[in-house]
Amino acid sequence: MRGATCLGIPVVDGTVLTTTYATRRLLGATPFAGAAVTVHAAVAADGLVTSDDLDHACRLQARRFLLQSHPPTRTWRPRPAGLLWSASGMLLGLALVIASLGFWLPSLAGVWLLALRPWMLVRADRPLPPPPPTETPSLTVRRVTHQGIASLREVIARNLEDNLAYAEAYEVSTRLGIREAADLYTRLLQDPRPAALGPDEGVWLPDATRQREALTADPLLDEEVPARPEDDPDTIKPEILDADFDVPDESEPDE
Amino acid sequence: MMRAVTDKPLTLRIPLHADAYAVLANETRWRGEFATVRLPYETRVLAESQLAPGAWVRLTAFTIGSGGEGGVIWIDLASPRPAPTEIIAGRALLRAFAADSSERRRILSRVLLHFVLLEYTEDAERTTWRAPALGDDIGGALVGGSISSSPTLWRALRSDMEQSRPSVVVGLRDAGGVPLAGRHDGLVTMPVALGGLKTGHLLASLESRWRGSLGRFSTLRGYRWFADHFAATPELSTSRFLSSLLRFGEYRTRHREVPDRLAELELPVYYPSTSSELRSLASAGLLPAAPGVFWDVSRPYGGDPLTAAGHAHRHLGAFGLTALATADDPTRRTNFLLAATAAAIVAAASGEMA
Repeated sequence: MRGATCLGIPVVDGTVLTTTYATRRLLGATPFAGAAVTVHAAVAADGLVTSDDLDHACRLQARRFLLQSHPPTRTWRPRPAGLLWSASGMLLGLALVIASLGFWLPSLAGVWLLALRPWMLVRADRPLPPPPPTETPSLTVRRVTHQGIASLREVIARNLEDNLAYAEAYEVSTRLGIREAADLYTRLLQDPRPAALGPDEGVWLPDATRQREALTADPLLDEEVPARPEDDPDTIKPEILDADFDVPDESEPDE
Repeated sequence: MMRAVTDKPLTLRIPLHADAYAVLANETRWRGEFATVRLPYETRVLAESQLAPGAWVRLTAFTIGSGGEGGVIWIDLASPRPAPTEIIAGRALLRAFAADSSERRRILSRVLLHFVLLEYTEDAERTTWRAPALGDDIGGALVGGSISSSPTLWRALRSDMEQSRPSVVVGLRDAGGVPLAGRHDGLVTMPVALGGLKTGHLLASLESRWRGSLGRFSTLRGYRWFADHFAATPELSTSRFLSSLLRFGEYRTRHREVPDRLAELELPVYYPSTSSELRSLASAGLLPAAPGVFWDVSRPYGGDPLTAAGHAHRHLGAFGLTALATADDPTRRTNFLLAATAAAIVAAASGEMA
């Protein structure tokens, strides 16, 4: 079981969940097949990221860096100097076999140089197969509270301007030694849109309090289905009332 | 001797030429066409969510067909960030099955097709699409096969999948130009449950199985060993059927052991050609079953659960496939996704995935 760490770095209107650089290196050296990893998700204690969202994003981040693994492997390539050495040995072996005139000792040395030694050299150069995995593969996520991340959340929350928030958060993250956060804020200072972040830079998650709940698979969206009593505007959850629903123009004829 | 029409093998080709690609990529032209294209489909909006602030996306399901012996084919085009190629592949599929042809009618009488498409809403801010990963081995391509990164969208997808009870789930993903597999059009992975112990030993011994005489790498020997070893496994014949369709479309129906030379009109699918590629495949939990088709055995119960195919295989017992387009050219990647979908639909409608 390997331990990994993801950081829920606060940004304006949300959180970017990213994997620490140390974890990237650790997971990069672990084969994906059969990997058992426990991801510690470090977030602020404010509950702005729901456990379900955190679990989903952490698993995807762990999967990403497990798959981008580069296990140290040796590949067999014919080396010119080695080949020349082997070929000269084989020639010498052939000469010994011919010149031995039936004497067993030089013949044996000839056979050794001609066939056995090159065969052993080729065998020795081949990489050993990796051992079969012994763990039960799994990806587990545990939520942990991180004081440094909480400080960053406060900085983001108290600044009204995006750029000011990111500039101050950059300073704080540098002071706290959170390199991943400092690098993220540097990117956001160049372009404050989380939409412009690369896939390796993290997964954006909306704040739970601001999240406009998705219009889930619901007959509400099927035009043919008659309205239900619970669809009455008075019974709609308050957070849905903030949504910008398009009001159809009644002057247009129906299709 | 005349054969009844119903006995003829099914064929399905959805090629997309550069001109058609440009038409489907044009939002204004597509919007006009979509009004007609959507008519034969039962349409349902599954969810709306944000991939980033302002980047609103809409997840829509389009259903067509009658669902006979071929069952329900659930086609997932909802990747973490919708790639232009995936959006265009989705539009091309909608257009293809809305068109009236006797072959399409034959297919639709046997299967029910359920396309789940993710597109940006009209006024949404677009996220910048980049290749999902930059790794230089096969893992870089596999990263792109993941489920949606938005928890809200994934919940909606999962709920729809459970309601649809699909027999086949196909995930279509643009993996971008992958350095290792960039000269190929792509590959298909299929979750297969072999059990933990067997999987571990198979992956550990994969390299030695692909060595011919004198210890040199041999593709021919590898695929022969695989065919002999898994002769009794039903997934093998499906893999070979899919491989034949993916490699040759309608031009060849007979399976060839190893692609010796790529013929004209043959889709150049990915297959390992060196020992180091086999090591990458083993590390990612993939077994090369047939050219272009790999068994995903990264988990003992069968495949990566963070792909739609792996999730459906484990939780719904469905047959799962993930098609990963890896070519350098976007049009080729779109065409690979369409070819993979066509292969899966023909295989399901022909009873090859039963």
